[in-house]
Amino acid sequence: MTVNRRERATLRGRKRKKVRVASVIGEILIVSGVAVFGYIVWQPWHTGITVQNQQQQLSENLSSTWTFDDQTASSSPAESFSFAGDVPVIAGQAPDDSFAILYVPAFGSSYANVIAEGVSPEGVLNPSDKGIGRYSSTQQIGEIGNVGLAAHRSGAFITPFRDITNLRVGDPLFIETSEGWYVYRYRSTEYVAPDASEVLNPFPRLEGQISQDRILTLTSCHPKEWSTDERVISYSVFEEFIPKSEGPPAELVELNPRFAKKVGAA
Amino acid sequence: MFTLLWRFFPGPVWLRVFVLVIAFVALVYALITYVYPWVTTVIPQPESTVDG
Repeated sequence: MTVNRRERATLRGRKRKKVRVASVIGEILIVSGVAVFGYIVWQPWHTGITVQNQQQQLSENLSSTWTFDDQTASSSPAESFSFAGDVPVIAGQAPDDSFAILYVPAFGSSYANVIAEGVSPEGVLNPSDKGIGRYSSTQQIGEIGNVGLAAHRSGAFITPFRDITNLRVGDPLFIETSEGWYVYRYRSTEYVAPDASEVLNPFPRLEGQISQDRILTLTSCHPKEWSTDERVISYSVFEEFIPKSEGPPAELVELNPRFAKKVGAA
Repeated sequence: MFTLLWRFFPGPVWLRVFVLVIAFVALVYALITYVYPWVTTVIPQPESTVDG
């Protein structure tokens, strides 16, 4: 007995439906929509977790190049230490070079990001192995005046200043360089127009005023998500300098679990 | 499309499911490795610097 194809399909309990063009197009649209949604999920995961972890590793590598030849460097925290000499000035870095590391516990307890020279988008602000740029027109780290730093706050590239508004008055910011640690205290935030370059003056906002403090100015975009309408400006004031030989600041060790672990192991 | 994919692969149901899962994972991997990073470079980037 011959069983034709259709009956065989029925015997196996399967019905062959005719494939319609409209349903094929519809299903392709569904898959494309899911892929676009996937980008929205991937992007914050990538910039927030993958890139930030990579930055912690980069910072650690950079930091280890500074302590390598200094056998006397202590890894225990600097307790009640006061530095008497002149605060060293960091200078002479080439454009796009990573020359310092920024630690801000308010951005996440183990937050670390390298600081590079200049604010070119292609050279410094966009690549995920850089991210934070120093305005070359501003003063050097350690110099009296104003150190201006820029970084993205949102978007598809690295976003080191994502949590810039998490800073509260008195929060510490630490800059590590080849010479040692520069400790700053957050003071205030303001929102300005994109052309308000006077926030980078040696005395922020005032022309020709002679500064006596060392200011750290962070600039990023505002509103947070995908906007270029305004800039958010965050000011911090220099508090103290701790040389490499004294080890990391006690406050950073306390707030940052990665330093606490290192000190515990030593 | 789903129907066509299902018919495209031969073999018993478990094998087809297995092959389709592999294909799906490969698609997601390709998106994350090649497509999404490329998209990143073509969408506009917010500016974060001040200039006069």
